[in-house]
Amino acid sequence: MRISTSQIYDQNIRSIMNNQEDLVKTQQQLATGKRIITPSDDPVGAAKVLRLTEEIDELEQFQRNNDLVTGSLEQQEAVLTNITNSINRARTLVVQAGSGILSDPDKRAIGAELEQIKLEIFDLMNTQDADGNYLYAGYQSANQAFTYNPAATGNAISFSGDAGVSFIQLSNSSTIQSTSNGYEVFENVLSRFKFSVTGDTVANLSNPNVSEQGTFDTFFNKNYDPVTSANNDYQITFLASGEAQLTNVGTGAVVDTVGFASGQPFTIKGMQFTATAVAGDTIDFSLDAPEKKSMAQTLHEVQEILMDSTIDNNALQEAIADSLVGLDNGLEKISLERASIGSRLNIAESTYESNLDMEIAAKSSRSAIQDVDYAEASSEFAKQETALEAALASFPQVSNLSLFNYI
Amino acid sequence: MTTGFNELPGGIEVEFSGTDTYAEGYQFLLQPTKNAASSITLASNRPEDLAFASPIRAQADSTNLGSANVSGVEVSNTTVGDSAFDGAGGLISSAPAQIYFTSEDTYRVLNASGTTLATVTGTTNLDSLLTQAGLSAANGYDFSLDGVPKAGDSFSISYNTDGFNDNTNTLALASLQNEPLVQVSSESSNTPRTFQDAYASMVGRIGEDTAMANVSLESAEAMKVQSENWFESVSGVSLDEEAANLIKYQQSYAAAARILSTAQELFNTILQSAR
Repeated sequence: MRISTSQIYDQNIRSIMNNQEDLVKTQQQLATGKRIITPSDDPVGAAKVLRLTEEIDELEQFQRNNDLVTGSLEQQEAVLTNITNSINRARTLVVQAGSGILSDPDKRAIGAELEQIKLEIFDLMNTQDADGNYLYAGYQSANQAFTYNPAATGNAISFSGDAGVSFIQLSNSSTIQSTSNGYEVFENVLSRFKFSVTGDTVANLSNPNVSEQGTFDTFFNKNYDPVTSANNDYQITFLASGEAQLTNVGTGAVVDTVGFASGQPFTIKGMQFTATAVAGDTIDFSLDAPEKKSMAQTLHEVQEILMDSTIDNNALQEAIADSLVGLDNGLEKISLERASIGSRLNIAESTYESNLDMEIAAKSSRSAIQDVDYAEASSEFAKQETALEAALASFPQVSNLSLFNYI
Repeated sequence: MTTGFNELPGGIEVEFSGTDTYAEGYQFLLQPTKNAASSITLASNRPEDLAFASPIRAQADSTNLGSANVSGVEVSNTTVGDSAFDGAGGLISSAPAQIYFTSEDTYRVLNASGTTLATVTGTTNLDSLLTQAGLSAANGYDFSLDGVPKAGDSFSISYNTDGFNDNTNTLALASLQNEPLVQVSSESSNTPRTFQDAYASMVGRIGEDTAMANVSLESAEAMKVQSENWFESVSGVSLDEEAANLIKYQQSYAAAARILSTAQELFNTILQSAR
């Protein structure tokens, strides 16, 4: 083909330009460390990189959530451990108070110590996190979870938050509970099931009480009717056959019959009565509505009785039985909650591990797609550099070749 | 053209209303996102103003003997006048405020003043209790329980006043990340995708288009070079060629001149011999 002079210049300039463009591109890849500078370099790869980047960012956020929730759960565990230790001490004191050989000042001393433990537990139930939020107040975390009002008609220490709990997302599919509400952990504790005598026609009815708490609890759980209160009224009728018969007043059903000797104690469904009775006599009683008390409230009640020297021994024994059942039920709730926190911590930890593995996998696959292979890129750079140098060096030689130089 | 949705390239659809007429030559300028960025303003700089909490909370009453607990609260509508929300931080008085179980599978829904709004008997699950009572749609909220309720248990629903620690809405907001919400094309068979997936596909598509344009540019460039070469080859000036021609013509000039001078010499010789 015939080559015109301008073609020689054009051709040379074009190849220098092309070489420079390639060189700049490779230089850019080397400088940024990325193979894909614009999406058009590798459209499929660029889209994949975006998806992987999202996944990595999301996993990083999950790991931050995980750190937060682990901290919060560990704090809650510490609170519950402290409460358990204090309650165990309080329980020992309550048992000691019931031994019957203690003098009034001794009981007062125990009462005073129980008061301190009560205040300590009350304080722990109102624990605040680092942000100043009350841990156990539910959604209304700016308000104190439990309030102490000695003049209140019901419980002096009562829950004033709500049942709200918050959740934190630890992976795409799993959220775990990060807080617990104080009602469920501390306040939703049943106190001892009891009954009250409402009327009788017998003589010398003395100290009707629950002597076999387990039997009575079974009976109570099976028969207490929160809807129709008449079904909670019972009557014991003394029969001519020397037996005591327990009848439900509401339904008329005969519940149980036991042998009876006048003036001797008899136990029916875990309840013990002692009375002088003849055939036809009756005792009416009804099941008390179940009450819920926090352990602080339970300690508050027993401590007040211990501090009161006018209380007789029967009432003291009742109060001690009440508080022991209340503390045991409360400890059961707390150990349930500790088990729940432990399992949540385990889940958080294993989620952390699997998220970490996934993050590493995503990062390595993102790196494989978008990162430059330095060995390849630098040898490519050297090659392009040589080509450009050759183009630059040959240009003057080619352009200097002219017939005019020879004529 | 029939009325309805008419697909345009780029996924925008324009609907002409049936009665308005339009004629050939009419032009429509669509700038749907022209002012979108400039009208973004900061509406609040108090984090407490962000509605991270659910407007409703439900809880078991303290006298409950069963093990049922609230497992979830759903809010579907908070429009004042169209739901139970009064717009002033509360619920209207006729809204469901309490659920009372008269047996394990029978419950009554009561309002704040204790009037029974509905009774549900023989329920088999404790999900969406207000929907089961037919009261959810009109009030805009609902809740579910798990566990086993006992007769006499009740659950109360109230406005979530002071609910600072509630992050229900935030979790719902965060879960949008994995919800398929973006319809990438107007074909109904096309399944929606997540935000990030749609964005990544868009970037991929633009990258493909750019790569394709680059290839076209390169081939056009090559064709242009080819044509230029042909053009130059035929009509361009080669200095070497011209130089060669110059020499050639110079030589012929010299040769012609030489002929002239030779002829002149011949004539002179003839003329001198004849003198």
